[in-house]
Amino acid sequence: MNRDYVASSNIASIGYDEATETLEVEFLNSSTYQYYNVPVNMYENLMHESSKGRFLNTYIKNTYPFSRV
Amino acid sequence: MISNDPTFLGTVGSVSGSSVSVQLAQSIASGLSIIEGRVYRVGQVGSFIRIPQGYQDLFGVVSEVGAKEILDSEGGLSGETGRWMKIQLVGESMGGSFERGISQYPNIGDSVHTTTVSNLAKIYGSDSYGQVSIGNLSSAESIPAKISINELVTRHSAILGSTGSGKSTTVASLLRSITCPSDDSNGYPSARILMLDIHGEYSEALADVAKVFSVDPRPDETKLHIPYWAINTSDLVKFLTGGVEGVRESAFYDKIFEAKLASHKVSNFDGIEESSITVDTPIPFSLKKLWYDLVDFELTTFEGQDRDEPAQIDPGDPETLTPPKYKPHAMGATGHFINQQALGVRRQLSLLRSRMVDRRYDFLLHPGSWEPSLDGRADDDLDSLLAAWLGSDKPITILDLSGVPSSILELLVGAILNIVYDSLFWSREKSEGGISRPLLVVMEEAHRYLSAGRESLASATVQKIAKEGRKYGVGAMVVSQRPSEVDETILSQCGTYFALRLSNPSDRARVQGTLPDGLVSLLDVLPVLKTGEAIVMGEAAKLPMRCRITLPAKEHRPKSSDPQVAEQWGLDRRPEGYERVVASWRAQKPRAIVGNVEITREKVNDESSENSEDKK
Repeated sequence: MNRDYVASSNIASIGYDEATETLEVEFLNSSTYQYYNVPVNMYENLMHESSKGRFLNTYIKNTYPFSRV
Repeated sequence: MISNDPTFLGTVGSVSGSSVSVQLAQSIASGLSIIEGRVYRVGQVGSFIRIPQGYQDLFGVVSEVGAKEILDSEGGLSGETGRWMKIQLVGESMGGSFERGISQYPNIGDSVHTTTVSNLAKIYGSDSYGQVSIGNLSSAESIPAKISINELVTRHSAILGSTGSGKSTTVASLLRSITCPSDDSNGYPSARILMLDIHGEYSEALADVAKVFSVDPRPDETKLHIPYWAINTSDLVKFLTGGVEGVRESAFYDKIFEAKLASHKVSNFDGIEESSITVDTPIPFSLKKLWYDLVDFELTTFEGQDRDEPAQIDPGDPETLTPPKYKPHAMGATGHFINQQALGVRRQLSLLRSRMVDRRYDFLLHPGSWEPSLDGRADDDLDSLLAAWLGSDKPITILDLSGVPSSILELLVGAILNIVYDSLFWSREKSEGGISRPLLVVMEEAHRYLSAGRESLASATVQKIAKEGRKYGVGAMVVSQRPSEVDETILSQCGTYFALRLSNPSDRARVQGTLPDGLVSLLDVLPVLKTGEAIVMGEAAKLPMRCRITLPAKEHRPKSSDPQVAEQWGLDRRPEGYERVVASWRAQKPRAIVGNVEITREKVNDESSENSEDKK
C-alpha cells in the first residue's frame, strides 16, 4: 500500500508565471516554494484538481526542481 | 529462600560503602514479574530496587548483574542461585518523602524488592507541583520519568549526545512539556525561555509556542537586530578593529565614552546620572561618527605660520563613510604639515569601515531602528528589544542564528547573553527581573562558542551565569555533541545531565566525571542507548534514571533529521539549475532566487487534508 502523508502539504495559495514556467506554492505553515520548468498544462491540471496537495506531491514535487523562497 | 511476594528479588549478600551485592532468588528466574497488573523486568541495569528497613526504605540502582561460574555444590547456602546483582544505594524514604543520601546501611540477609509504580510515585512525588514528565522509564515503560523544573532551571543543565542521538528532539520535547504539559491543565503560562538556535532547526518545531527572530527572516518571523552599542566596549573594539593596543586603544575608548556622554545629553536616558556613565554603559552612539572623527584626526594636514590651520579640501561625509580630503603633506618648511599627534590607526580604521559596509554584519552594525543617528539618537531604545526577546506573548523566544557568519558567532552569542543577563541581573528587584520571572537560556551547539581554554565574551558570560545565575533567576541549558570541547567550568556547574548516546571515549569520560564513583557503571550503557533514550541524573531528577524521551508529534519535531538517502537517490532525475545554487551561495541565503519574478498567488481550496485523514 502506498501511503502519502499529504497532511503536511496543505496548500494555502498558488501562483504561476507563464513566461518563466515558475509555479509558486504557499503552504499553510507559511512556507513558500517555487517549482521551475513546470509546463502550463501541469499548472492547469493542478488548478482543476480538488485535492491539490496530493497532486503536487505525486506529479510535481519529485519531478521539477524547486527552491524554497 | 522462597517468597510469595512478587516484588521479592533476593537478599543482601555484602555491603561495601554505597555498593550492595544481592543474591538473586529462585523465584525471579524468568526475568519478568507481574505486580498489580504491570509487568516489570527484573535485574535490568539502571532499574531501581528497594530495601525495606522497618520504617525506612532504602533505594538503589542496579549497576551490575552477573552469575557465578561454578555453583558451590557443598557448603553453598540452600536455595542460592549463583546469580547476583550489584546495587548502588542512592537514597531513602522515611514516611512519605524521599531524600537523597542514606543514613544507615542494610544488613546481610535483608530482603531486596523491585520498586513498583507506587514506590516510584513516592520518590517523585507524583502530584507535587513543579514536576514535568519528559518521557517514560526504560525499565518500566508505564512509569513516567519526571524532573523538577526548579532544579532544572536554577541549577543549570546539560544535554549531551552524539549527532543523531536525538538531542534536538529531546530539547524540543523538553521545552514542549514545560510550556504545554499534557496532564496539567494550567501549565506554566509565565514560562520564559530563550533559545539560541545555531542551525535554525527549531523554528518550525516550536512555531506554535515560540516567537522567532532570525537574521534572514521568513514571512512570519521577525528580523533579529543586536545593537552594537549594547556590547561590552572592549569586545566591540576588538571585533571592529582587529585589536588595538595601548595609547591607540584608549583613543577609541575616549571617543566612545565622549560619544555616549553626548548621546545621554541629547536623549536624557531615565535612571542614569551623568557621573555614573562609563564606556560600557549601554547607551547608543554613532559608529559612523566615531569612524569619521578618528579618521579625520589621522588624515589632517595643517598649513599656515603656526601649522594649525587645517588644509581641508573636502569635508567628506560620515553618513556615507566618505573620508575627508586634505592637501597632501609636503616636506620642507612651507608645505602642508602632517598631524604630529596622529595615532597611526589608519589600518584599524579601514577595517572598521569595511566591517561597516559588509552586509553580513548589518544586523549588528546597522541594527534597524536601534541604529543611532550621528548625534547618538536612536529611534528605539533597549526596552523594546528586551520586550521582544523576554516579554513576548509566547513562552519561548528563538533567536535563529543560522545566517550568522561563523567568525562572529562567539561574539554574537556573548553579546546576546550579556544583554540578557545584565538586564535581568540589574532588574532583580522588579517584576520583570529574573527572580520574579526566571529565564532559561538554551544554548545549542555549545562547543562552537564555549570552547575550552578560550577567553571569549560568550564563555565569560556563560561562566558568570553558571556560577551566579541561580541567585538572579537565570538558568543555562547547554546542548552539545562534543562535551570534551566545552569549557569545563561551565559543564561542571551544570546540576542536571541528560546523557544521550555517546561513543567517543573522551566525551564519555567527561560525562562520567560528573557522577559519584558508584554510579559510573550506570553510564557504561552510553554507547548503546537507543536514539531518543537518555540517562537523566543530577539535581532535577531525584534518582538517576534511564528513560525514553517522549517523541513529539511529527509536525513538532526539529528538522534536523537525516536526509533520506536511499529514497532521494531512488527518484528519477529532475532537471537542475545550478545558477540557483550559486545565487544562494553568493547571497549567503538558502532562499535566494534567480531573477525576480513577481507572481501573484490566489487563495485555493485544498481538499487534501480530508484525504490524508481518512488514509491514516
